[in-house]
Amino acid sequence: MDNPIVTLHDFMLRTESITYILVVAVLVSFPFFWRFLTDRDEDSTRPDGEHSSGKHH
Amino acid sequence: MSISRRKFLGWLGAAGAGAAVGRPAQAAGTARFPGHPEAFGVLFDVTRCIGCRKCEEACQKVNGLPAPERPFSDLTVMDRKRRTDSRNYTVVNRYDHVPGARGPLYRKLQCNHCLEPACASACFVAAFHKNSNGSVTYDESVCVGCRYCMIACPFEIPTYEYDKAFTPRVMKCTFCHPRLVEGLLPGCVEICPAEALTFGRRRDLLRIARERFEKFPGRYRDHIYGETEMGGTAWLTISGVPFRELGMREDLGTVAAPELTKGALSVVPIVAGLWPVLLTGIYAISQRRDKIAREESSAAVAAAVAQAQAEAKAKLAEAMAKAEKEKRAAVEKEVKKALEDAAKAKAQEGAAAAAAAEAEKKPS
Amino acid sequence: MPAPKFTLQKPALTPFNVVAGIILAVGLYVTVIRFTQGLAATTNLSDYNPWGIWIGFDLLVGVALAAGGYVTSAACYIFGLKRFHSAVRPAILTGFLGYALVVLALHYDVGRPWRLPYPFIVQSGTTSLLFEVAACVALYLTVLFIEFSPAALEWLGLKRARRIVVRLTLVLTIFGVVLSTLHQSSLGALFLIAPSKLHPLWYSPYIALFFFVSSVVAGLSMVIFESTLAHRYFHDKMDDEHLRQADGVALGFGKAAAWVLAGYFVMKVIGIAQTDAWSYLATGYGAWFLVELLGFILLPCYAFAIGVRDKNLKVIRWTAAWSVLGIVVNRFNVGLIAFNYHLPSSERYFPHWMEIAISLFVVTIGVVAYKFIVTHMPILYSHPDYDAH
Ligand code: SF4
Ligand code: SF4
Ligand code: SF4
Repeated sequence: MDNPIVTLHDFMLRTESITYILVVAVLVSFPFFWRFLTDRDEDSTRPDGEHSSGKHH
Repeated sequence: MSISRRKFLGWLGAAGAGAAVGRPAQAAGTARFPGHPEAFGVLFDVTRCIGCRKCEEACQKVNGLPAPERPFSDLTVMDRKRRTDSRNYTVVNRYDHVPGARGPLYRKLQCNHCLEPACASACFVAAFHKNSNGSVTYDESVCVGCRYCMIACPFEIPTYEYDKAFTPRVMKCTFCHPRLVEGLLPGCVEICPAEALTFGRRRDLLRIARERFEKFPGRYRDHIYGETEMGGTAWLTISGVPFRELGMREDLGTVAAPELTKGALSVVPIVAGLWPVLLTGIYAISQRRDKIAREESSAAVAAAVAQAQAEAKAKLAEAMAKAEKEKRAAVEKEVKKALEDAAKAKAQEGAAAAAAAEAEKKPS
Repeated sequence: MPAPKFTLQKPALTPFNVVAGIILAVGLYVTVIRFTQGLAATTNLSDYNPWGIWIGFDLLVGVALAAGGYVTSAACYIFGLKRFHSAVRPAILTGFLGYALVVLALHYDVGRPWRLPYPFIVQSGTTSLLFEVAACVALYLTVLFIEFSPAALEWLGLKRARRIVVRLTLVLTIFGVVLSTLHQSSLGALFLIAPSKLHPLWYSPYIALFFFVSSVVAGLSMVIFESTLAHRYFHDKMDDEHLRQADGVALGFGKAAAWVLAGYFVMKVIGIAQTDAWSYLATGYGAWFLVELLGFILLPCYAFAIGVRDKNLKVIRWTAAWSVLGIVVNRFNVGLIAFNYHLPSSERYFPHWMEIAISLFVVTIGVVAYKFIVTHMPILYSHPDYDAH
């Protein structure tokens, strides 16, 4: 896009595209951060589902 | 034709120069977007249109559209209301017995080339583009054929080639974009014998329309259709009767299409950003709650066990103490008994000895 | 046409097989016409009515009714309501099948189905709510596929792969909820761009919220509804856990549905206030709106509550079916009935029989696939080898 943005539509096309890229980045990085945050915990609130997916308790 | 070819080319040059010099990019999201400053438009004057259908014919020719079943000179096709379809980018409808009009009125319809096109906002492959010359064009090479653009267009303009199995396209007026680029007028504008169509820069057209309002008092209603409708359109219409009499909707409002979806779109990053945080939080809390419940229950068990043990111990101790006491008592009793026995035995011994001594003394 | 039963034994001529066979045969026939002669030959779509029942039913209803997957897995894994555990697998399965069929149906509807990935690989129209829907549906279908895969992997005996997938449960569940929130609501938001075409009683700035909240209702009701059917036809496949929890699931989900329906009802009423659409209530569309509002929202809300209070499973099950129907009515209203309300009846849309045939075809594929899967894979029971992990 070489022209300056003069319509709301073009503006939104730009902002939304960037937003979607950020959203994907956020969704991918959250699990890793949660892991980082909790991997030294003794209780296992870790997102690996080991404790949440158990069938019979 | 009120605009000469030369003047038109001059404009094109100016538009090019304007683009080359460039304007500072609009900053912040709160900026109002002025639209393409040099964009063209067309002013359609209902009071001038004579319903000859020449524009339909020209459109078919310049765009290479299929020939109609009935010739363009056949005006009886206007007996029923038509709309744009995949073979006609533009149609003219006749409106009989409109109150306040002396004879039948005609209205041409085609894409209005919105300033903020709903079709472009709706397309999920961005197939539509609002060009700086004012036209809204469609790129068939990316179109998936979802037809959401047709849902979105408030003027019900885009149409679809439903009869094609492999290469169906969305069909709509292009504002003769290829001709504009070459410096030609749109086919329909060029041919109009009644000068019902006026081509020019949109901002000039707004002025021209107002001039006509002033020059011919009572001839027009004071409303330029398309000035604000759905955020404004490049093609404008003026008329002497209310637009609703000509099948045009007057309830579209002035909000541009992208404004309508802005809020819903802004929910995406909120949900994507906050939901994982909230949900993981809820998960962690429920896990924690479970864990505490587990711990509490195991602590209770332990306590119960401990208590039981303590009780048992106490009982044992008591039993042992009792046993001890009993034992001691028994021992004491034994000892006592033994002593008594011993004493008794001694006493018996003593008695026996005395008796023996007595017996020894008697025989003398 | 052999009866569509994928088991190895000889297909029996049960009524189910006969009906399913006929529908599938007709569907295949229409499929050929659709892809050789185009939409005009198979549909009543027009320039005024670009969306018919392939969108109104297959997409809008299909996605809503497949909401059971995210609702149930969220309840069990995120909110920690383990007593619903046995309901998760069947719900994930129907969710997965539902979305797969939605995507299948879209191939019929769009003009050039082979271009469906274009928004992601060629050019993205990120200003479109349809882009959001497409992205989320595509991603969520993948998520559901992975969530469903443990059952298939157990069936195939692939323990290692299964263990990896099971470790992802929580991440997948949260992903699923995020994606579902987004696209369930965006399906409603699709119509935000057309305020002049959707009747003011249904057009609301809250429409996205309506779609999301009602998808929760749809999910809850569908789980009850499906489990009712499953009990009827696949009782022998269920293990103790499933049978033991089933009544509790119906009660718990019925309670949740009553509560969510109450919220939905309130929001709908406030929606009228917000757009000041009261005066339309006195019109024909208004009457129909009231039927939806009172008959398909308030009534099931109340009936669920009665069923829960009385612990009357029969009432809960019937109400679930009614409330599912209510969702169908709502999506039809928004997508078809109240849409283009301004057009004269001659320009309105009514589906072609071939459109209906394809919709039935798609649903039948779903039922047949469900039948195959629950009779072969550990859905309604836990696989004995994987009890503890
Ligand atoms: S009139 Fe319709 S098709 Fe034309 S630009 Fe506007 S929204 Fe698009
Ligand atoms: S039909 Fe084509 S142009 Fe219209 S919205 Fe869909 S992809 Fe875009
Ligand atoms: S501008 Fe061109 S494409 Fe549009 S109606 Fe006129 S002749 Fe047809």
